[in-house]
Amino acid sequence: MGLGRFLARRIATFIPTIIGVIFLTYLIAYAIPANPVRAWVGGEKMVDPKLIERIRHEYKFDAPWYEQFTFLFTQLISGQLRDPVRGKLVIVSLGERFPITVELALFGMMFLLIISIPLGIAAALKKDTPIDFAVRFLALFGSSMPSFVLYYLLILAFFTVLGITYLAGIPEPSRPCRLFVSNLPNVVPVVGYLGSYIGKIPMFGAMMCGEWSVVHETFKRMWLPGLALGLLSGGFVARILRNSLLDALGSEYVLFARARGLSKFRVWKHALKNAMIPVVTVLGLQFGGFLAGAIIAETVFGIPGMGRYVYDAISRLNFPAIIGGTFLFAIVYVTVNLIVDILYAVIDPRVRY
Amino acid sequence: MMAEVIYRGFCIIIDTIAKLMDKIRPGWSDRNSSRISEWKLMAYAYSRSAIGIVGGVLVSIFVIIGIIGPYIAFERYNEFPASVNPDLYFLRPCIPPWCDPWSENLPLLGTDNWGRDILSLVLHGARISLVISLIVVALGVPLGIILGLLAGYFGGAVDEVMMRITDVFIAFPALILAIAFATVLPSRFREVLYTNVFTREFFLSLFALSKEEIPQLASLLAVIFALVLVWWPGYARIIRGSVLSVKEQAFVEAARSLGLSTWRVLFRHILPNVLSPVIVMVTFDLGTATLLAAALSFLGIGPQDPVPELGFLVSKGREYFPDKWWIVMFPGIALFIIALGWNLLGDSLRDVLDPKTRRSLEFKVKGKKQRKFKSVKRK
Amino acid sequence: MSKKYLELEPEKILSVKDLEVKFYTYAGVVHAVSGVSFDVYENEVVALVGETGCGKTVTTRAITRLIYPPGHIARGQAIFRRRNGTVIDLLSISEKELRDIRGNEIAYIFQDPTSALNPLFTAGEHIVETIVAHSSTNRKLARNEAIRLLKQVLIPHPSLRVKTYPHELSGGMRQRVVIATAIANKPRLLIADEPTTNLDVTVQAQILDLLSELKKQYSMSIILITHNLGIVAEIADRVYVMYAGKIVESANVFELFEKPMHPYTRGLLHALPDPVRRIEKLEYIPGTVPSLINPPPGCRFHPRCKFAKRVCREEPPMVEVEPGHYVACWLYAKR
Repeated sequence: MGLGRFLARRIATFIPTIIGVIFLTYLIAYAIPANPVRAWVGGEKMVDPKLIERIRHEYKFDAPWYEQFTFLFTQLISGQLRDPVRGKLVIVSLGERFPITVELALFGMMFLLIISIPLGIAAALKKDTPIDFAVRFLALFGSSMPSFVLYYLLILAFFTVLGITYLAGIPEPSRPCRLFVSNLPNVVPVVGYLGSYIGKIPMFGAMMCGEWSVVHETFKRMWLPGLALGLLSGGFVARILRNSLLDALGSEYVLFARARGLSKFRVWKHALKNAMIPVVTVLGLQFGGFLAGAIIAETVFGIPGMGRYVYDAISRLNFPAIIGGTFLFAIVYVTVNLIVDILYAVIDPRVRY
Repeated sequence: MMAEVIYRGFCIIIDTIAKLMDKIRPGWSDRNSSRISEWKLMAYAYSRSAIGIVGGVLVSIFVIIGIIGPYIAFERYNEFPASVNPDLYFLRPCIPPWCDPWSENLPLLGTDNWGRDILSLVLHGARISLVISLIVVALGVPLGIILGLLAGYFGGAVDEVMMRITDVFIAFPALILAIAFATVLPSRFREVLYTNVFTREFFLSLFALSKEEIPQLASLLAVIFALVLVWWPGYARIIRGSVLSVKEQAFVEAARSLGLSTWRVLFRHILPNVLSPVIVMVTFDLGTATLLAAALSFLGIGPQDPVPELGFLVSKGREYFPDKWWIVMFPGIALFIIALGWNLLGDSLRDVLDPKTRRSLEFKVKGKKQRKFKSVKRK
Repeated sequence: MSKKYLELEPEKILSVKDLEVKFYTYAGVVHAVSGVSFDVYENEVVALVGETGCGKTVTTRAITRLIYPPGHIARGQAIFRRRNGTVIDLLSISEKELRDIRGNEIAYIFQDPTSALNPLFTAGEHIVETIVAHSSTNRKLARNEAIRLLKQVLIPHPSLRVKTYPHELSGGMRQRVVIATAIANKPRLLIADEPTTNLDVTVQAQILDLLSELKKQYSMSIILITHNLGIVAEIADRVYVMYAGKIVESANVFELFEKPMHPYTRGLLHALPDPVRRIEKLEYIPGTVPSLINPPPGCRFHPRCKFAKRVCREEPPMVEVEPGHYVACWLYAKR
């Protein structure tokens, strides 16, 4: 019904955005640097002039701008951009690391939910009490704390002083694991592909193989980064839930639900369903934010994910990797936002006009 | 009572402004009496908000340190005492209840690998952070506002094109886009700084840096510019949205039918009506910009040694963490306090500028006055 | 809990006595309803008339304790005869028993159907959950009943409409859904709070017709809140006139329109354009509604009343000037 048309429209705006993203990436790669060839070679280092000449030709710096753009466009879309340091395709390196970043973001999400949902509901029920004030303070704390400083504080407390956590590294299952539906790719390509990709997230893979010790190890290492991510935005999300829940509880439809003699449970269902709409949106955006914020979290906690890759690329001035990483982050972020929008439309019928 | 003193202080300032305006344009305060009483109500609401006062105090301290910091910093950032006296290398912090820095002649917040005093570096770092956040907001916000105004007011193709461009900028996570810009911009700025003496001297004195730091200055400017580029889209979107709703209201229709020029309608009639959420956003964003700039420096994109940018100090301390924890913690705490100040101020301003709070306060204040008035009459 | 023996005349269904509701706001205590008493008989339409903000809505919501903080029911009784014949005080029974009555024996129609319906629930769900909450029917039967109810409130294609969301319906259709929800359990008392205010004039008439039709069919009593005297004349049997949180006059509808007694009622009726008489100027009541934070002492209308005397600063008694016609005004009180 309405949902199908909404999807079509939303995806129609998705494609020009992707083209825009590539164009902006082109500007960053070719147009903005004073000497793009040098940037691609690796900044200010002294290099062999022959190499510069080769790069100039290989990356079409001698061609007009539209040729450069189409060149970069095809390189990015087909994933041909090569990382000169490792000699690997950028997309392959990032693809290997992406599941780890997703794992980190999922841990962050878990803690975010554990922190924000109960606190938000408690703050709404006990408005203007110490709980409410504490939530307000947590929100202010989370938005004022530089993420990296919080990470170091937590490491200092839980690793150095208390010694109850492990740092660095990601435990992987001993063999590639798949969901029991391993023959699905042939039947339902998208679902099957997703199923095998979920298996690449180390912890889920380990679960699928039944290697529970790996799952345990993962928890031992990931709980602290997850907690840190959850603390940073937990108060903020709780505040949003509190405000929207207060709006919902004071609304006419909740009063009407009470006037109809509905049970307490049903009345809460009316209020919560509405209050969750802005929260779902914010949670989705936070998930995208966690993926982007991984660049700092992975650096501090020593997690070999996508963010760490981009960080290494920056410190080595590995330009193709920076460009590829920027592009891929944008694609992931835009896709997460698209999913959030679709989810929003599924929950709220008013959106699918 | 503290709140009362602050309220009176604001009232004096408001009255002085009104008197000054009267001198410039006679009759101003009569014409704007409702605006003046509105301001006083805001001052009243602000003076009763503990959060706002704490935020205001933190921000004032930060701004004052930002201005005078480089002058009261007792050691220059580019002097390396440890090269003369190796004893100064990585001194532990000496904080009063546990240790007496004056009698033992030890640094309050410790020293770094070059024997530089951390407190001195933080004082200088505050200046750098203040300047970064102010420039980012001063350039990014007006840019967003103007683009949003134009898109919302003209609509049609202008709107469509601008919003698609905004979408593209918002498609990138802010941190990632800022990283990308900040890695490619320095080369451009270096050219400008080497050729244009005036710009160079201006920015060097703004950040209180010496001449040798021109490459670092280029990186600093790149960070600022990168942040400006990621800052405007949010404002453009919000302003466009409110312009769309304000545009339909009768007073804009009336202004247009009176034949006022487009610019006049835009800036005299629409702009003032969409600005109030912006004030709150700007306050929050001053804190966010400080943190984001620090995050970029932390990732090694901003200025490098020996510039004492707070985020860079933290990233330098990483190598020695957790043994020499103070190099990470004190600049980090400074960043936290700066951002907390702005956020507290923004949180209270949101309440103060909300007409609903003011109306309910008005009732309260008027109620009190009426009661006072009545009791006088009875006597 | 001490159980007092409650009495209610057999022809009455509800008797509200000395109801007082306060709101504790930032600006002060709002005395929204002060000492309101009224009766509702079986099978009649009672109109509660007054300006916006005079406490009509609060009064009716207080009957089933739909008053939430900062509001507070300070005093009063609402004696109600249940379907099974027991007589109870709605203001002192348990929350559970009250929930059993709400939406079942006493149902509400809210003023604004757009905000009364939850945008995330379909029209059908609203009706189904109301039925299920008060009976042991399963959801499937309740769904069929919902379709029947939608048909009864004259919604075209009811079996399609049960699945639509409120935003897909027009204002008039939404109000019909609200009405269908209200009558889902065949209530004995229907409280309609300005049911037509937010609707187009043409739709207003349809909704009023529907209400009187349903009243006959289900033999309900209706409390109709309105500020529109045209509607009162059309469907009400008896009228209570409210001003600033108090009832100032009550009579049957013909009596009231023939012989309005209270200066406020007279002002109200004169402020109504009469299509038969040609009038030079529409009259209005000078002054504004008083603040309910510091209401004027005594008769609350006296600051605006052209007959005001010194005595009006004291509380006027409710006098029966004609059989069944009561006025709270010193003009008619024997002193």
